[in-house]
Amino acid sequence: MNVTTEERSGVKVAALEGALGVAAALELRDLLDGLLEGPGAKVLLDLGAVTLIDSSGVGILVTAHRLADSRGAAFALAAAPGPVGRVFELTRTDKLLRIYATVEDGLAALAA
Amino acid sequence: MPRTERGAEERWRQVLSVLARESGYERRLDALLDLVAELGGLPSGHLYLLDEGGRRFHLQRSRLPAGTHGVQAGGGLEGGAGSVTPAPPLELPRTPADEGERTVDTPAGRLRSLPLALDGELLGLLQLGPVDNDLPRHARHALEPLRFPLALALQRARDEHALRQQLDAALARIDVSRRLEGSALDLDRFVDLLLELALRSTRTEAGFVATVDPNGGPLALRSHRGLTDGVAEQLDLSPETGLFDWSPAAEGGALVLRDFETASRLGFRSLLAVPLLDGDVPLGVFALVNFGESGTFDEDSLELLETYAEQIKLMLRNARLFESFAEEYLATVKSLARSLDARRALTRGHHERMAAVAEALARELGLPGDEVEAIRTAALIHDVGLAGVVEAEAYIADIAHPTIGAGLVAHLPLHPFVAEAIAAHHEWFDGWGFPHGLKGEEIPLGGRVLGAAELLVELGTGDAVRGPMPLDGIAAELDVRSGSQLDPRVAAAAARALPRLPLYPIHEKETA
Repeated sequence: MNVTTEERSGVKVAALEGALGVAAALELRDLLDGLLEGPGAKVLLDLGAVTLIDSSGVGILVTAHRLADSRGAAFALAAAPGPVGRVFELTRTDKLLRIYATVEDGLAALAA
Repeated sequence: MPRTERGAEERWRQVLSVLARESGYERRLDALLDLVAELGGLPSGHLYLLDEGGRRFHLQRSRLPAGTHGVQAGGGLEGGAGSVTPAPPLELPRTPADEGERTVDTPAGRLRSLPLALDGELLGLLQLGPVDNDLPRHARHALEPLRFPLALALQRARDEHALRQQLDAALARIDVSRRLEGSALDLDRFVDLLLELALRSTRTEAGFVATVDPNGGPLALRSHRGLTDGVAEQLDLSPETGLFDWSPAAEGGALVLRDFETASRLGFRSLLAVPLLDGDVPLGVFALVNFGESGTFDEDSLELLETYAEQIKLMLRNARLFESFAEEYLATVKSLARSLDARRALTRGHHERMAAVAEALARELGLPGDEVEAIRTAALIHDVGLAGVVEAEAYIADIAHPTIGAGLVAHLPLHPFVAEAIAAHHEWFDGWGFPHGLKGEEIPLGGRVLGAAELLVELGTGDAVRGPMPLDGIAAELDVRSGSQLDPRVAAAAARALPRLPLYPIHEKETA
């Protein structure tokens, strides 16, 4: 998994690339734990270059979503490729997570 | 006809000839790439197809210079012996620049990337090389008329590919139906088969199905394939601390992996688990596991996964409904048997006494608990086939009642002993019984036990003329009938158990 982070309009945007499977889960957990530090943190994950996600990847995203709620932070996902979006549907996490079609949509929602 | 149109027509003819000659998605694309290489004089050609979401290009087929084979960044080999050429990337993110022609530097060298579009819709990319900066003039001249037919062929091939995927899914469903014919009531076999087919069609290494007990209780492993017993035993599925974080009643039934450390320790490389819900009612979890790099859970695999998850869900739901129906149905049959007994004083309580005696005989024979229980159930309903007997046809009904009674419960999810025992409870060990005249070991053991129990209960009950036979008389009858009416082993067990058998409850109560 490769990560590129940047700050845009007060939102930490992390672009993930590669597979979000069991091997990447702990790295992803540490990354999100750091990004979501501090009340009012706004984090948007750009999933556009994610090639695979499984239940462990989804598990980390759901945990991050709960962590953000408990810390008063905002957490959202954007640009999930077709198969990644299907995994959210199959695991019924699509209703739980904040998912935007594009990074711009996600930025607009979080920056507001 | 102008020369350029003749050239285009000739290219069309060549493309159509290739498509007509080759069958199958990959072979057609290979043949088209060969044609491109031949006409353009460029040895390397790579064909990418844009995914349905329009976000990424996926490498469909690749043509490398003759006598070479490609090596992916991960080290996998393509092709046979020969010199090594770096293979092109398997995927490319789509960028605005892909709409136009451009030169790109790739692990496979400097290539010219040509968009393939139809009606303004980008379908894929054709990357050719090696080039310096642009296509050589002769190559451009030869290839330009090929772009439209190539795009058309790519679209056609893509549609065929999608159709084939749908066909595969449909065939898989038919295969499921065909293979499950005759086992509709065997849930575990059904789930096993679905799991096997799901793994095969999604090219996944392992998987498991866990179900929730309808009366409450935690998730429990029901079926697994590709997991060693050690791994299966270590799967903790408890709701509080187990592998999955799943509260079906909360968060819309969302299911995620909780215990990454255990998944990693068990060697899971990727694991995709989907919840099986009937509305809001949790039925179980269906999970696919890969230990190596092979698992991709791509769009096609996900569609198949969903298909199988749906089948397993339906089966679990139907099994629950059927089990509930079967319990109620069996209770009705038992009531019917009791009401038959109630018609005459001498038969009152007959089925209950038969159940107690048959159970005691089965225990005396040392049968396992499930067989003892099955024989008891059979005894409780063994004469139910006599229901609705018309006096004028009493003889025929009497002969047929074991078969009719067995038929009433044969399709219920009960131990096979139940229907077998009912069907054979009037067979004689020497072949003189009915309805089939079975002999010796041909008679199912349950039938032999029930036959002996029936004799004992009838002798103990007596009839309108003779009263209940005393125990010593019954012991003598057992001795006489051993080997003729009765299985000697069962007769011996009955003789041993005789003092403890509840043969006279009605008379004792009535005379008390």
